[in-house]
Amino acid sequence: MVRSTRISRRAALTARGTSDLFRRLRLRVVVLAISFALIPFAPAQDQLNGGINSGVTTIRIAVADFKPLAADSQSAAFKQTFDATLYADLATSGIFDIVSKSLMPPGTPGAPSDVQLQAYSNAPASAAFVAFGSIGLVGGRLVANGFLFDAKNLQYPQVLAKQYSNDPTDDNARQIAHQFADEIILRLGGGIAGIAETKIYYVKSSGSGINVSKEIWMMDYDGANQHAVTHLGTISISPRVSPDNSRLAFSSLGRNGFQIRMFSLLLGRAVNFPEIGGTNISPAWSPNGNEIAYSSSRTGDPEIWISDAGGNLPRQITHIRGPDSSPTYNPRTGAQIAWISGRTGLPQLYIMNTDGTAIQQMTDGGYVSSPSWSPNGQLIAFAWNRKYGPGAPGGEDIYIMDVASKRWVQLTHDSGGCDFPSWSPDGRHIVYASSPDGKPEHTRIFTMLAGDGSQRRALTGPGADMPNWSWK
Amino acid sequence: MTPAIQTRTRAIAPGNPFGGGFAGSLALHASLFAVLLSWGVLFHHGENWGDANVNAGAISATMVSQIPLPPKEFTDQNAVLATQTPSPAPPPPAPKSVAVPTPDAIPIPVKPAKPAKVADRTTPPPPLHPQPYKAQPDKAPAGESPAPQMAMSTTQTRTGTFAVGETDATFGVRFGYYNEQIKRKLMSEWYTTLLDKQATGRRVYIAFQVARDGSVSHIQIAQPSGDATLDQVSLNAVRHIDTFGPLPDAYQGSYINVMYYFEAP
Repeated sequence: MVRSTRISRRAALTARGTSDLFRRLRLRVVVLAISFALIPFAPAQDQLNGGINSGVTTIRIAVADFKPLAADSQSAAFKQTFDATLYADLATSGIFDIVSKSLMPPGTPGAPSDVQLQAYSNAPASAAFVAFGSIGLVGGRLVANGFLFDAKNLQYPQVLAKQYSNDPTDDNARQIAHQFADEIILRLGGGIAGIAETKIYYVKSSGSGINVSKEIWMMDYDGANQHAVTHLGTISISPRVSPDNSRLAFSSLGRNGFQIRMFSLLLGRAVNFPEIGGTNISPAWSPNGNEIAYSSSRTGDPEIWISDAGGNLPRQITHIRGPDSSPTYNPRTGAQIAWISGRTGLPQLYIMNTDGTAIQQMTDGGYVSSPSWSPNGQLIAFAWNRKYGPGAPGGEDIYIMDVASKRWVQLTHDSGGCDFPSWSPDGRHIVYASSPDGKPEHTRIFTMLAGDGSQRRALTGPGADMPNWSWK
Repeated sequence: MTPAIQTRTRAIAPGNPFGGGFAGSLALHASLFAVLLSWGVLFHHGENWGDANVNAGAISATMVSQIPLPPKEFTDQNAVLATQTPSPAPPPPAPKSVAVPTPDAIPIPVKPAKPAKVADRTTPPPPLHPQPYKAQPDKAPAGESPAPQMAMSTTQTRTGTFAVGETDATFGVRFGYYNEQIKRKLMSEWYTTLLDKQATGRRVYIAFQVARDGSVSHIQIAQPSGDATLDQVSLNAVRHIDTFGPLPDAYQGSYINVMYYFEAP
């Protein structure tokens, strides 16, 4: 037995055996090389998520139903709206772990003297904070008293005590709930303001076939109060609101092709923006509100141009042959622009300084579109079809890339084609458009947490597209 | 049929074609020059500059031997300010006798002589190798400052122990939730993957100030742990924070001093 193995080992070292050995070694080297080549495509989950606060522990908060101040039915209706809105705002904020209604202790405390903090801090509620108060019609005004108590600090529990008073309408009941939720999120969320009072501007299609018209609509961040902003009767796309919420820039199909239009939200009408030749699309505001970057093909090739907010003094930023579009500024510094360029073939993501220098390519494959830079300046969200091409199955999904390290994370999976991501001002949510079956007329607007793509909620019905979250 | 166009070319004569014209031009200019010269000489009017003629020139000057003075004016005796009998001028004052001071009148201050500085011992030579780290004892020997004594709220996680406290102890009692928030934010900025192996068991104290709007300033290491990586990771955790959130409304001051320690597991 030993002899035979010794012979076989000798055989391995002979000429015939050596080729066998080399073949095995080559196989191992090839396998090693393949595994090394695959490393860049492994999504880097851990270190990237550390920056999107998914590693932060959530705060357990109990939101009690508010006590009615008056007994009439109108107060009851307002109270119902208020309770539902407050609960929804805090549940979708991304930083709270809301105690479910079934685990709440009985009773509706209305004043600091009524609340039993021990009941809330013990199991099953185990809450760290309690939000409670009272709301009702007092003297013809809708009055709400809101309190936020620290259930762990029995000696000095009060964190917030706020009183709100407004005209008695359902809309105001919702607004008071949004304001109270924003105040709680500001106090407990580490200094980042809440988004309950922000708006989303989007494109709504109506009609079909040759009569399709797309108008710009706006709604609250939770999908309420959807109404039209423009009534142009033509195709209007890519709405972008200014940082101070005073103007809305969008691209509209007019007599001279697609032109950038400016709509004043304060005046309620269009204001002047010069029309120049070519196709002008995808406007983007700089964070100080003084400049607009957009894609214009007035030179024959779509390039990125920057003009001031009135459309004057346009200057060309990119000069390379190949389509350039969808610019977005770095909201933190205002000194960089990320955009999509097809100068090497399929559209890829690039970043550069606002004077056109220091161009950097961020992606190197697939079909990239619609970048959106996060408010803290560290991440870019974009739509990417990594397996683009005839016969290659694969949908478009929302990805997030860290600008400094170029590592990316995929946020949406298997939910149909997703496009047009837009960050919320607190950097915790992303709104995007998605069509579950791929048909453009079934596109809806969804919102999700930016940390891990969880808590997906549809905000609109079908026919809504290209959302843009306001800056504040 | 088009008629043939006849072209006549004049042959250029050999030699210098411009010789005749040039000579003629020279002769013309020489004759002009001669005419001008002769005109000047013949019809010379004799008016030169600097002539002795009195009227030649814009300014005339006459020579004199003596400058005439204006006549002497006599004063009027009846003028108000003049008098017939002026009073005699007072005699000049007698010269004051100045006493010459003696050389010793003002004593000259003498600087007290300072003794020359002499080093009691020479400086020691620098060490040739970096010194090995001396482990700090658990007990503080007499004279050394002890670890910061203040009320701290601690949280133990699998990555280590975090503790936050304020120099104003009543702040932690009254606004415990703010302490928890500071701790939570610092924990989220923590990267334990960057720590050395020898950092385990060490504790670093960092002190900083939080302003009214929650921004951080005056970041310092209050007590180093002895391990540079732990110190740097703790400092970076505080430096990366933009804001901790606004200070509680019920708190009257404009900032708080926070002490934060991290103990590696």
